[in-house]
Amino acid sequence: MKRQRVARTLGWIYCACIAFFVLSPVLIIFPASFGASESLEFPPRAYSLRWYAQVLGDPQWLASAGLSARIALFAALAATAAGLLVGLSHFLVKQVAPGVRSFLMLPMVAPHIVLATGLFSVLLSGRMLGDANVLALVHASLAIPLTMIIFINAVESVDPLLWTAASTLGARWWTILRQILLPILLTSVVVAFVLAFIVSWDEVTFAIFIGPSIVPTLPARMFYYLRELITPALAAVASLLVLVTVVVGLLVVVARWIGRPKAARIVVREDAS
Amino acid sequence: MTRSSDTSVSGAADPADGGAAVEAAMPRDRREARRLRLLVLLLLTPAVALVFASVVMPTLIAVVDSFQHEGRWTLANYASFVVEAPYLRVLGNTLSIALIVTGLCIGLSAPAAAFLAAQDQRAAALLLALLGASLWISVLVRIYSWQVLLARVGPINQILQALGVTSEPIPFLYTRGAVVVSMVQFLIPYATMMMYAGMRRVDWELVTAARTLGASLGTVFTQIYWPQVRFAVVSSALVVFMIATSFFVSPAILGGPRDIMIGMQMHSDLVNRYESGMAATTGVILTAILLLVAWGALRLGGTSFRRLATALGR
Repeated sequence: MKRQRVARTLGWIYCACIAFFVLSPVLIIFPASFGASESLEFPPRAYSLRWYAQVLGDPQWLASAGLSARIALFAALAATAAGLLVGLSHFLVKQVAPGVRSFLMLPMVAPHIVLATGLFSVLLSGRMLGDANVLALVHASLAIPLTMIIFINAVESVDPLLWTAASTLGARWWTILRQILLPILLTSVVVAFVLAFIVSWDEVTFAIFIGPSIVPTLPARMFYYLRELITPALAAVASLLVLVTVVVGLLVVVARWIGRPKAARIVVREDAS
Repeated sequence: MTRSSDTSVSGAADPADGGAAVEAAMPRDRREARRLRLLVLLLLTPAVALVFASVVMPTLIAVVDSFQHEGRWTLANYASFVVEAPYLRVLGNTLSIALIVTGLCIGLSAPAAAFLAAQDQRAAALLLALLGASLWISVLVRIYSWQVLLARVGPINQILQALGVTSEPIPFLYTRGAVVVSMVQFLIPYATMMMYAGMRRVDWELVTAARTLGASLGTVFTQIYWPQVRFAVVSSALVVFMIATSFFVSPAILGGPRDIMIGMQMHSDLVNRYESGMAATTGVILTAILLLVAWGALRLGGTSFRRLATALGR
């Protein structure tokens, strides 16, 4: 038994090391962004907020951040809406054809550089290369596998008898949608929106191949800078990127927490009647 | 939930089969059934259209472009790929780096995934959540952190010099090693989570039975455990390999001039020549290679254990 316990402890230590290895960028970038000296040091010898001040006051970085945010918002809206519609059709016919589901998973599997090359060619001849809306739509389709899975799972846990009961009581489909389905699906809507937002916010490949170039998206600008200068300002940008992601991720946690008891409440009410 | 016999609902006899209840309740004749199908088609259109426009169409266009050069249909691009300077070398680089990364990644993640799969689910969930959280760290942030760590004045060199291992800073950056390490760091969460999902399905009773019958640990591993997890490991390795070949941010920033990978080559072709002939050709060849590797890997390592066991049992 003792050998088992030793083995188990070693196992956990190994897993912890892997987790530490994988999460280490955050632990490094964050302190480095507060370094006072001109060149990047880790660990920094003196601390200062000058890089954050420089980045937050630099119109170029702010323009890129604003662009990324707009694109991510548009992409998240489109991906969530598309995914929601797929989820609804799954609800209506009990099972969306597996062929359709596999097709909609393609953006996760196809190599992005190949897709970007084809898109480059098409957009070039259509004179739409660098169009932010096109990039947003591409980001949306990258997020569709995620939102689709979220909504299909959410919809499978909705009791279809709720629809039956409501329509028996005389509700039309839009009322049922508005008053019954959407409140139940609200958590999933928030989660899907947030995940799609992050997919677009962090996306690099398409942003570089076909994205706007005069004012590039935030990851694209970071990429160009990484190839040239290395100042701690970049660490400040990176930390802010992570901060946005974390804040947005906390929204997911909050949304899940708010959304959970609701289904139980409906069940209880039906029992009471 | 009360299953009161609400018989005003047409034919909804079996509440457990909820979906059918909806289907039975809603379309009451063929016309309604057809309308429902049309409605579903309409609902699926936005998602399908988006995916079609951003995956299917660009792939077809890339294929078409690869056969075109200066407006004419030709195989010249493919000939150039084989003959002209950087292409075969870049392809070789890409495949070998991807292979090394896949090997390291699976080698490091498989023990962790196997261990977690054998633990209590709640305990494992925390660690998996940490790994999942790392997926939200943008790839650029990670690459930047490697630039900080591996710099000549970075902490790793400082520690090595303090310990007296070397007297001069070692140039870690802009080498293949830096590229490999950063890619492995990025891909470990994917590999671990995929293999964990598959390894949870291992039937531990078979292992216990074998041990009771006196099988050694080695036999248990090769005859009982490995056949059950083989599919999960092979398919995870395949996905990691496919992602690794398409990587272009890591080698672009952390790699040296001898570590150019295919994504960078395609990008520079597009940006410098402003025609997509060669880049498209590269893309098509890459996709063909990936499909071949996928087919081969699944043929060799992909038979699911249950099918094998049933076949052997007969």
